Amino acid sequence: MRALCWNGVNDLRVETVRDPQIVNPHDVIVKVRKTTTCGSDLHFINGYLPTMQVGDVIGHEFMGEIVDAGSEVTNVAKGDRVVVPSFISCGQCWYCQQKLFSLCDCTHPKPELQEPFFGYPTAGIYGYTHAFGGYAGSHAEYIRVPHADVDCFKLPDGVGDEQAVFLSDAVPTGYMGADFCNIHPGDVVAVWGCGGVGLMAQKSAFLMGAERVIGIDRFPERLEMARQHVGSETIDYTAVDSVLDVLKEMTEGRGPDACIDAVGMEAHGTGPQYAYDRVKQTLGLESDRGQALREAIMACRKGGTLSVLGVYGLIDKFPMGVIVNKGLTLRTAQQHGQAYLPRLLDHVQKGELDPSFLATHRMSLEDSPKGYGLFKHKQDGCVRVVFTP
Amino acid sequence: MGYARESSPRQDRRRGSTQAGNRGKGLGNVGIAVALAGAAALGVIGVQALRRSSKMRVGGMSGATAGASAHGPEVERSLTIEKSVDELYRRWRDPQNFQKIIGHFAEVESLGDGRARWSAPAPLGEWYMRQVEDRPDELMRWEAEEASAPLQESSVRFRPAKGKQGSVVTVHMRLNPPGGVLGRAAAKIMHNVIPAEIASKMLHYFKSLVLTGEVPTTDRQPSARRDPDRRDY
Repeated sequence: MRALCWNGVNDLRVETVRDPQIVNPHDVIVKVRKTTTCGSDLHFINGYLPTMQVGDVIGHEFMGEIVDAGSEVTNVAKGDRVVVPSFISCGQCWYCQQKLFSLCDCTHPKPELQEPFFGYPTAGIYGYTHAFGGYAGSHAEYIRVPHADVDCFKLPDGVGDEQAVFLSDAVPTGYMGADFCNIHPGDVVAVWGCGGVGLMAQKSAFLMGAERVIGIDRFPERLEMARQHVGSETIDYTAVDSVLDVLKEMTEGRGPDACIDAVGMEAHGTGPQYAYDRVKQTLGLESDRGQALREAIMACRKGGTLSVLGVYGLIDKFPMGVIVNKGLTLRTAQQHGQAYLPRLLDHVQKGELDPSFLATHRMSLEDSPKGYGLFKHKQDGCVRVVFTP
Repeated sequence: MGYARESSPRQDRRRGSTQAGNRGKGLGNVGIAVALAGAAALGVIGVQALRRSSKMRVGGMSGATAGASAHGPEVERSLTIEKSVDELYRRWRDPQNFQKIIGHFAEVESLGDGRARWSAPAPLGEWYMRQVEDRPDELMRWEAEEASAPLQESSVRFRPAKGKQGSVVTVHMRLNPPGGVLGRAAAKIMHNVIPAEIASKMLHYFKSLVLTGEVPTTDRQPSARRDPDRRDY
């Protein structure tokens, strides 16, 4: 089959690789119909995450059709059109029983690689470094999906492929980020980042009853999307002296009730703090540029909630004292998609949520290296590229 | 199942020793440890990982420390598994199960009478273990027959977890790396990384096996350029 393979830093190529096979009895093989870029891919493409191997098939946000099923798969079957969350979960362990699916104890084939980083291994992910399991990714014609009964969600007829593909990661991540904020009617929620996850977090905040949502970014087309498709107010942080001051003004001096960081380790920013982070990251002294996160901590109202969705490595200069003194609640996780998928499918079917506007570019799998170029440099108004293998 | 092929187990029911036919891949672990060490020079995350590995935290959820020193070739790791002690004891004794959770390190073949031949790729080689203790639902312990065996002693203990959340399984291993130049290089790696890796991986694979009936694997599709017949890393 054809697949998009990592060959080194900033070196992606479409190659012919072996087809996946059923290995374990709960596996299925999914013929990928749509698969999309994710900002977190840029971390290993840019070389900030170790444990990639030459030839790794990348991609973790996808949907498709089941074409083969293992002997013990019962909930789904050949021919089903399904969406699959990015994290692989067994459904049986204590973590899965608590609906903390991305913390599953049973799906990491190489726990010894991750334990030194995190203390304990997490669930495995498709196409996202060997420290996260080394599973082959979704930017391919076919993908092996373990624990299909738990991880494959059948798509109703009313949900299109381009809506479904984002239910794999961008939507559940954003939705979970809003869920963390314990939103009450009248709440104001500020979201740093108007990429796929940030826009979905904004939309989800409205679905959960927020009165006002404020999106922060610097790309005019993304800010326009936040206004047009979500109904958010927006701040272009490059056009103001202080995001903090603007947010204060917009919230009668109180600050947003909840702040969501949907940016992560490669945050762009302005001013001396950004220059400091940039230099340290370039020298390998720090893996992250954390300006968005620091700003969110400062802007949040006292006693508010800070919901962190951005992917970080080992950030330094983290203002823990500010969090403590302001009494903030810090909530974080990689997405527990399996916990949210039934609700999300319901929202889409009722017409309350349509994430397909994230697909600004559509390409064949053969053009995917070009697609990542557009995506990485945010050229041509690119928010997400959807590949069709 | 990824680790089940070539299996032709014979079980010694009296002593519950472990055996099965499968290719050991100990060098794979050494390889990845070296790869991690190499990567460590490249970035903060890697350095941090290596430092933490070399400390070899012991005890885990069990809180036990039983003689595992910070830098010695001895390790103890625990994991809570949501099953009863009797079931876990029974599943660990099953030779097919055992081979699935140890296959990444060694091939273990029963010779009867509680004896088993262990083999792993050079420089670890081949050695013999004998079961010396068997307390049902509580503990099993094995000792090497030769002073030069790379694995001198191993044991597994089971006890109920607090709060009715299943059982705590504790693996203890004492290693004795082989001699010679290659041996000393291997020893360095084994002292710092490998025993903890083996123990942790065994426990997680065992948990997955008893809860889901399968061991997580990327076999046969590890990454695009691999020899398809070679096991993952």
